[in-house]
Amino acid sequence: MLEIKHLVKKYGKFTAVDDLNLSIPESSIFGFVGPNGAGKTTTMKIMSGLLKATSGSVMIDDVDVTKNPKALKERIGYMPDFFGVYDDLKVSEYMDFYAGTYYIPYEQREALIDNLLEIVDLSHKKDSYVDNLSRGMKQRLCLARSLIHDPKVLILDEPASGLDPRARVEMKEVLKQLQTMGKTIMISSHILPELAEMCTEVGIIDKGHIVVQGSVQEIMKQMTKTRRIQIRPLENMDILLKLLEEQPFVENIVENTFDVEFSFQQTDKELASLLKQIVLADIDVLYFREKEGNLEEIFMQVTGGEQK
Amino acid sequence: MMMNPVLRREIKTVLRSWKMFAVLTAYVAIVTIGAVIFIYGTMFNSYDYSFDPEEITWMYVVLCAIQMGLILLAAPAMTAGCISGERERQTLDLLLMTKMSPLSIVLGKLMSSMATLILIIIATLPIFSIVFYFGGVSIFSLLIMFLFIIATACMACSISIFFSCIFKKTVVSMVVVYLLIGGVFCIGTLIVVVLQRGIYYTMYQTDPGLTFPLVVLCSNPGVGFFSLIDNQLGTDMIYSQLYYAYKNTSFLNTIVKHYWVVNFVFDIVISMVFIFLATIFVSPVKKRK
Repeated sequence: MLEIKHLVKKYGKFTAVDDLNLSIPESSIFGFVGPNGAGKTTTMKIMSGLLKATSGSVMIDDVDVTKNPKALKERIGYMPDFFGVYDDLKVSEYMDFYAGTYYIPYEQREALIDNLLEIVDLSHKKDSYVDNLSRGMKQRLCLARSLIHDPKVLILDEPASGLDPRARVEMKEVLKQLQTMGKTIMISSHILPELAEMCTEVGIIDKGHIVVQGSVQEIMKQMTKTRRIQIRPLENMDILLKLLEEQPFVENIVENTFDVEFSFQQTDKELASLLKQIVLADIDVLYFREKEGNLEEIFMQVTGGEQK
Repeated sequence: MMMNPVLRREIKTVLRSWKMFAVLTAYVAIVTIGAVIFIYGTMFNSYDYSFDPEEITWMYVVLCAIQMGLILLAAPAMTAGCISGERERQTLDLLLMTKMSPLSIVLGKLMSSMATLILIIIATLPIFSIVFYFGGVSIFSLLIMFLFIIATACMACSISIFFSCIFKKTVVSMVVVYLLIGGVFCIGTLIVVVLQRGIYYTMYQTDPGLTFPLVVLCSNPGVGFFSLIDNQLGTDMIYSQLYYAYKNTSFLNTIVKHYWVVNFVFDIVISMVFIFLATIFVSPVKKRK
């Protein structure tokens, strides 16, 4: 549905976005992750019509929105990484102003604003001044603003930055609700774990181009070269350690307080065989499990350890 | 018909703010003080305390001059931050992403500043009514004068909006506008004309003609203002200054007699040019490479 093809953005000799290709399915939440300066905001600004691409296209429903500003304004809702609010307006007036900028008729506005404020859970703040809202509320108000013209695609630049855990959870819930309403959402962040929970798909950008794209699980599988296995014996820790040391595919054995951890580079079949050996050695096993990959480590690995 | 959303929001917030009422009060107070000082200082004879109603026409000149000066000061102050302020508030990108065209945004900003200035001008009408009490100046003359002041304000506002698009900081755009209008248009043009005439006369021992001063001074709101006063009251503050060259044609004579019209047209044209330039510079895609 949303497709970015060979997108390039150059500032003189510096290439901010370098032949970027992306394909985002309809009604998905796509996490756009990358270290600072990787080209996330530049890509999003091009998609929002705030920057002109040096070359390439952004297709929404087979319409190149970079060449069709009208289609772009109709189909894309953008929330930048800053609030951008008029403090001297009330919440309803703020929404009414943006409804005006999209030339929504006066008679339709009240119902529309009520509906959007309900989605972002700000109905009770309708008559409050924007200045009096908390950071999380302002963020949600900005989200409501970006929905005022009912866009198909929502581009959110670091929506969770600076929010407390509660506000993040609230934002996450709102985004999931919007996904069920059929919106395609693209969220950027420089913290991969922050997006992992809420995104259906993730793309990691570094130095202006996509390094890896897919679901978080797929990326982890793709990027994790060695598996880390944890075993907790009920007793006989010494026997277990000796047995593991004898195994040819077991490396980096670490003894923890209650369990043992090691790297294993073989297939599931060899892993099952190892478990069988342990049980046959009369070691009572409390748990035998594969340790989940560390998203931060994967991110650092993918982006060449340049995360700041 | 839908009202320009930027204009609607600006009017709402401006009228809600106490600052607007403070500015309005201060403005009317300054014009009133000017009128009172003039009445006591000029119209009453210091020997026998008699009152000379004929002096009332000069009060009209003083009030209009105060009005003109204040508007020229207020217009950049009100407008120089309109786009840079949006940028500082980080709302400009959001505005440019909407369906509003850059022209609508710029016109919305211009109209809101102009609406405020026109409100201020109208608020001084009761003070101007003192002039009508004694006669000597027609309502039509006052309307023409207000129209001239509004055109000058429009020119100042358009230039301010343009610089507001160019500079990131409001203070910088405000300083540049004051330097351009005050330093270049008001004082600079006079200096250039005097120098040109002096140098030309020294070199060729003959009158340089009117073309150069007429072209240069069309940007000078002061010359336009006093030309209009000459026209309305039959005084001679500008006409004889310009029309002393004996070889002038009747066409030039007509232009000099109604030089304020040239100034008025200049204000309108300059306003249109700067609004057009502002729409180019405010547009994100065209501006940022």
